[in-house]
Amino acid sequence: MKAAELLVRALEHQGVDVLFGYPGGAILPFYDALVGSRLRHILVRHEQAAALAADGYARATGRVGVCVATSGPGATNLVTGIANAFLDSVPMVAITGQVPTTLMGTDAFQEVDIFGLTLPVVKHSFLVRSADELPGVVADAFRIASSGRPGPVLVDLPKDVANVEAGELELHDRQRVEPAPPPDGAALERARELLQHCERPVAYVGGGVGMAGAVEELRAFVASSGVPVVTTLKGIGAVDGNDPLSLGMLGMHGSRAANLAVQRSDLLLCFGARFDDRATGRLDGFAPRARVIHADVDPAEVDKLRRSDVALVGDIRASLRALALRAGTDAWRKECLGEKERERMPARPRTGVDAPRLLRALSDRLDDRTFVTCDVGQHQMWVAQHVRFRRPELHLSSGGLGTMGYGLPAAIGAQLGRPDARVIAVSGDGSFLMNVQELATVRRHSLPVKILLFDNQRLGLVRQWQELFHAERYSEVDLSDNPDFVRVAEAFGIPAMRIDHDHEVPAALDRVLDDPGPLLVHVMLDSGSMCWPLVPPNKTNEEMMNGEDR
Amino acid sequence: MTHDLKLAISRVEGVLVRVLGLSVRRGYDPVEVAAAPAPEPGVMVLRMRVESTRPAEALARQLSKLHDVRHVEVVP
Repeated sequence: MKAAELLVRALEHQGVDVLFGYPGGAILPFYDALVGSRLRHILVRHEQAAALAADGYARATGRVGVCVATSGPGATNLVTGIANAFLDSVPMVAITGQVPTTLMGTDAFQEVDIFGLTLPVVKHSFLVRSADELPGVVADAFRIASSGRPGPVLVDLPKDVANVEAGELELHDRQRVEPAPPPDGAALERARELLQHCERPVAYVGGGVGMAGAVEELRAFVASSGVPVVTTLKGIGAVDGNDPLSLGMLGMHGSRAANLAVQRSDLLLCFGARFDDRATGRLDGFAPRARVIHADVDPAEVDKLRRSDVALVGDIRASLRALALRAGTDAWRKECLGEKERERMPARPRTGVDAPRLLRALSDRLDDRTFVTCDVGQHQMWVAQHVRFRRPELHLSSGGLGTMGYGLPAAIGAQLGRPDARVIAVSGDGSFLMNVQELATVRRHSLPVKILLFDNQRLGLVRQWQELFHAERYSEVDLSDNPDFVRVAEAFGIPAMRIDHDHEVPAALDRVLDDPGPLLVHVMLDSGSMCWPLVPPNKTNEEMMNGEDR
Repeated sequence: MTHDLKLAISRVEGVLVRVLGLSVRRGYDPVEVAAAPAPEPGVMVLRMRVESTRPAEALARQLSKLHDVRHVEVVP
């Protein structure tokens, strides 16, 4: 058996069922070995989409996503997707072909040092120098990708190594991912002490809760303590978006209630979040009167940006089970919920469809088996603000890297990972064209992915910033010569429709929810669309703009 | 200010680039670096002095996460 076949067998042995990739010269041995394998390979039309689809697959299933590319440009095209997985802590194994070891370091055809190139954006990486290493490397790659704080692992395989006759090397079994250790007992004791003496506690919840499988523990803690909850973009759905105690997302485009609660709090209970700048606004003015309990699996997140009073490093589930809030914070809770009731929908746009209200209407009709993926921009923030998610894994959004072009490949990955689920990709006219070629993948596999394409004929969020902070000096944000997206979709064999007015929304949503196959809905928006609220750069989160003073 | 760190690292491909690259990326500029084999096979000892306005412990925690780093200590 050649080493390349051994790699295929090792992936099967790890329980891989689907992988996303694109063949090429240096990875030919692997593609040869795929013939007759039980692995389902999904041919994307650009390697970036392979990595982003693997990311979507991983988020939707909780399993490790796998992508494959050849050396050189194939490998460099993966980099954005690998970086996306790194910044959002998504378990991924990326396999790249490499030129033969005898040619490495000679600027050979399609040679690039992908091992070196990806060092800043991988959890770990392997350059496989001999076939004997392969079984151990594959098992280690999957274990490292999914343990602790998950992340991407690169396996670079030179072509001559892939072609070596490896015999019948024994495969390594899938290694059990050990749960993170519980937090330090003395730290838990100090946390309980803080909880006994606070008046204005807020739970600040990030993506780490969902990844730690701590959703039930968080909900039990929230239900028993009555603590108001704010979430980051990636924490959305950790508490049910319909829970009265959920104040919504905090930060730059967060809700007024969430931001005010954090700014007024005297104790911030941070669960699996990392004080990212989009969440905190001006850091030295963030939650200025709050003590901080920081629970996270990653010790390097503690005190990285905000000094904690108590660090609970380890299994978030164990922290949540051990904590309880004293009674007597009812007045504070009422204050927070009062601010939530004062939240108003943004003003209706002058023309076109009202995207926030469309998303509200969609949200009202969603069940707990509908995944929504996003691209990046105004539409992404509207989804975060207006769709109420019941589970964190149902909301797939590129948070850390902010990768335009994420939505469609992520939807493909999610749909292949969860074939029985409904998957809706919400995109913008800027983002959509960054991976539009993947409509061919949707078509080839008859994936019933639905695409809601919000088209304001602009790079809306950049345009908004230029309007507000660059004296309306609009620079390279006009996309008014966009193609006819309905015809684009139809050219790929995907049914499509266009809506221009709010009264057309209910019928369009009927089709999004009920059509058995794929569908693109081209939604025309006002070209001056704005996303409110907005915390301006270098301002604290209470200094939000809501558009009403303009 | 300068910080001194002592690391035990696995002697594997790319480990020095990994450690130094992470240090630079996180805002710590290596000004003195010395690596030598440790008595234990497959292990190297890396001593490094870095300049940064950030605390040494934050770098130590980041370095500890590298798969090929076995031990990190901040030398007082």
